[in-house]
Amino acid sequence: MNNLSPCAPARHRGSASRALLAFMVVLVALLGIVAMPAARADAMEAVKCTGRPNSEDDPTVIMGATESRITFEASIAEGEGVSSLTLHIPDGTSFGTDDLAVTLLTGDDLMTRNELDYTEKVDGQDLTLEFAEPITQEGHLNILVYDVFFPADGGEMQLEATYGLTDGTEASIEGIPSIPVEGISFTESLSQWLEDQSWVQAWNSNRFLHLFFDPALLVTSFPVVLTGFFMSISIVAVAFPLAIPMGLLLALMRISKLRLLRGIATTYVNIVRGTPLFLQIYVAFFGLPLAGIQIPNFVLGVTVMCMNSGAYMCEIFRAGILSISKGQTEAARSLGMNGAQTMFYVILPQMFRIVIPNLTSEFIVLYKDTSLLAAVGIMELVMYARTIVASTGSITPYIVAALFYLVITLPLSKITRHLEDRVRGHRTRKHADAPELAAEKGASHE
Amino acid sequence: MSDAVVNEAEKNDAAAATGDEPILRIVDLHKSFGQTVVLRGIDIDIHRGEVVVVLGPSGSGKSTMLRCLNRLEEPTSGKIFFESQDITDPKTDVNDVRKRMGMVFQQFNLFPHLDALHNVMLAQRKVLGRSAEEAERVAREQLARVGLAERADYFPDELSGGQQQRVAIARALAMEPHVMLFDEATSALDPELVRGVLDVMRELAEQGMTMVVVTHEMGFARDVADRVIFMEGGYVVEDGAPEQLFEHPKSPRTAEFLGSIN
Repeated sequence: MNNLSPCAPARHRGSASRALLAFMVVLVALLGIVAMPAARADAMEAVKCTGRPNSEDDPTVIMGATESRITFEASIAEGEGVSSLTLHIPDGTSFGTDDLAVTLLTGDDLMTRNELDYTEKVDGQDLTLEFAEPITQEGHLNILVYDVFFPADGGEMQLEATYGLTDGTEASIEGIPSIPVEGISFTESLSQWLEDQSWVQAWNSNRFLHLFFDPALLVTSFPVVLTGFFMSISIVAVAFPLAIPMGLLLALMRISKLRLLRGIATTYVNIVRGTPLFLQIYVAFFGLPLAGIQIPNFVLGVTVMCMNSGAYMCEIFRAGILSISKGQTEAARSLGMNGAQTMFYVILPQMFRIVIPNLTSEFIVLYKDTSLLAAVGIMELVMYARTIVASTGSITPYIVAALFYLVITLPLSKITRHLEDRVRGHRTRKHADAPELAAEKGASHE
Repeated sequence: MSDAVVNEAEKNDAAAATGDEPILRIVDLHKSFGQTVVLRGIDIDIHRGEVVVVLGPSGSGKSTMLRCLNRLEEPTSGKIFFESQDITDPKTDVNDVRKRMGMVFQQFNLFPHLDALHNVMLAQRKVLGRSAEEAERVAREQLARVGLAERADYFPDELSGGQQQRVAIARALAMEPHVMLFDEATSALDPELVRGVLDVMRELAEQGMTMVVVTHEMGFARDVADRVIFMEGGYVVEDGAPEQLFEHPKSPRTAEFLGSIN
């Protein structure tokens, strides 16, 4: 940088005014060049300050709460006489000093490594190096700090450094670049903690357990698959309630006296129930765009699920309606109620009580079948699990996905069994003087 | 009470005053189910205030005849006039006819999802368009009439068979029908529960209700009926006053049937 000679004769000749102008320009330029190094002659300058990337997913990312290494490098001028250096590591970052590496890089290409004799001292976040011999040689002081764990929350890590000279003056090194650290979630840090546990390592030494039930992966897959879980749930949460009126309408059409309505409903139900849902999804997702109809994935997914479930519900409702004794209709009609009134006030309220168990089963089926939407790129449960499986090669995320299905389906099937019992039996009695009838009826059922 | 109901009542009085026009007239009624002929030409006139009991062995067509009266069964041929209106005419609003005819079934057919009170209220609200208050007032009145005021908030499965049948009667009465049809109303009941239902029916008869009763209860027929009709094989075999029919049956078939019962 300062290797230019301060003396340079004016080489320009020609007209006097031009020569003078040129001389002035050169002089100003030379003064500038000479002045700058003079002002900085005894200053250490930061050359670099980096962390070692430690993310498994992205080779350029430094993550918090994960082992890393800080590389700090600063230049020393000839004859500077640096006797000590203090690095202030940002708060919340832990570091080790066992493997500290302190080197002076010298030579034109800075490839000559010079070991330095030093003693280190740690005071809180301050790491102080006292050099046995003040450094007077020109070069780059390179310090590697190992066992660094940046804060889990991440952020811009700004190191500070001060150095002492032989004459007792102290100065700080300016312009140290900060280290960008990405925060990691609770589950990631838990997973890292797990990976370090000996029982987890023992567990994972079993090939089967490692492949299907890797504890660390269980933990890290959880929040990712959870996102898919919400997607699956929102699909059923919209599709299922919409399928109920649709199924009801189809059921009423199927028992209608009008041949046309019956025909339409029967054809629809037979086609939908007679073909795989998977095929229906393909037809909708690949057929409609080809036909020039663009529907957002979520909307289309919900529509297909709803239309499929509606056909099954039609049969549930129809069976429910037909299971109600003819006497109910006759009683209602004999009182002068018309067909619609009979249906809405007498038949359907009873029908719904009867079909609740079947409807719950249908909900379970629908929820499980949302997994088929993964095939057309809807980011639901299985899709998320699959992305982690693809990047880790472990089956564990699928197991996590299975748990997300079970957490809904198991309680629901238990409720279904309970409801079935209730439909077969009787309503919870509110009158204490009625139970002898229940016992009587219960006995007659056996 | 709504104006409509008052008007209806006035009309009844007017009709009753004109006298001998039958409230129900069955003319040459035939009914077949496919190849099976059930009714082979029935002619019966029923007058206002009359209690007519229909007897006969099972399969004689008496229930079918009764169900034709409010067109729960469609007659194959023949005519039925109810308050001078031909109810077999396709143009007749069958719902309008039914709201003036109460029916009580062998199997009660209470609505299991509603308590007794709401069983009695439902058709009042939906068919007669009564307000909730009005319907509830009438319902409680009718439940008290059948002795079940205390059971208004009981569900059908919390009531005995006899109680259910009495709620069913109250449900029909709440519509203020001009005729009550009873289709073997006590046949599904345990013997000890029959009495309560028959008492309600007896009371109803005493209050002047026009009733057509299909039953196997000979005691009821003997004591309450104004007329007894004996049906067999789809025909009316005999039609007369109970004393005459029970003591001096004209037809040997009637005698044989009564003999087999007693």
